[in-house]
Amino acid sequence: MNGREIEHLLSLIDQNMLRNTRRAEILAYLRDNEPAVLGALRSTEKVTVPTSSGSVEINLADLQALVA
Amino acid sequence: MLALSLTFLAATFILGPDLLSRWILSFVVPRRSLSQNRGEEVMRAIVWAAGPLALVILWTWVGHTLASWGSWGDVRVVSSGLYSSSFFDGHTDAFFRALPRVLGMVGSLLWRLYLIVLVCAVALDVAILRYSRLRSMLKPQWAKSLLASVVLPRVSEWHVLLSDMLLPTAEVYLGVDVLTKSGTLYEGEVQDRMLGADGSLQTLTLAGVRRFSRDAFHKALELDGSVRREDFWRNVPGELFVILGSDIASLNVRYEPKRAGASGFTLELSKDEAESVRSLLSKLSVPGTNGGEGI
Repeated sequence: MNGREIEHLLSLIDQNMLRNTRRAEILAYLRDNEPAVLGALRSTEKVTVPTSSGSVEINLADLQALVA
Repeated sequence: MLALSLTFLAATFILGPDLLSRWILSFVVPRRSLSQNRGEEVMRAIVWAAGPLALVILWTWVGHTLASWGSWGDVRVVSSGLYSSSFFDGHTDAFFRALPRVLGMVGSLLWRLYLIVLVCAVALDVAILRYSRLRSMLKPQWAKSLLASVVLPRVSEWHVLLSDMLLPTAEVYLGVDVLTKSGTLYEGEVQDRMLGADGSLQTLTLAGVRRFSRDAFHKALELDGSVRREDFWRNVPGELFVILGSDIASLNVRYEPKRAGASGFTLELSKDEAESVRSLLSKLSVPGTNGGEGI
């Protein structure tokens, strides 16, 4: 592997770690803050989830599509 | 001395353009994935040198560029001086008068040659990166064949199959089912591939990998014929999963749609996690649950 290939591999690892961390944080927030999540979804059909890489806004339609 | 000069000119006019094109090509396709035999290598060097050189000669001929630097007589004086030491001794002043003119002529040919090769190589890089889009833009079959014959021979077959080169749209990702020689079945999203010097597949790197519990499935199937195959996939934890190319028995390449909502949001969920989200959403439709009316 040359330097560029190693750097590409490292960036893939970074991306996947970030994606997995973000995913875990979103699921934990949905699980631990159920009343607030349900309230937000009922009133605005979307919920804002704080994560270590910034807030993520999830629409009700997106959540429904995930489990469809 | 003349032989040395001719060797230098051959290197700069024939080998240099090929090396430059390879270097630029390596930015989008790993150099090792270039899969060519000796004949193709020679053909490639000739094309990369002869085609642009013909354009350069046309360019300088139309612009009378070489004449502005020197004449054919200057070339004769310099080449004779390089060939024969007695000619050099007898015409030293003429040789050194002609030398900068000839160097100027060579230089004016060379910078044009390398500029054309640079532009062609970058265009080829763009064609490789945008291959799928270019292919869909071309309607006639002959144009598609021409594009393939120009672009694809420079790329390993594995790179074509296991990169996003052939992805029809950005809305799909490249997924594979990998059956190893030990009989284990994995599925995941292709992240990277390492290719050997001959273009062979060395390793395949996947993310979001699941392993199929084949033995457990067959045992359960013997007991209950209605078991679902989907229930026997197990997530493999980790950031990247590397399979050696030598361990792969077969590959099933899939273009799977990305599971994203209208806003582009996507989240990969396990069976339990999907059930948890489903449970959450079901509470939305129950009036009065957690304060509020159903929607």
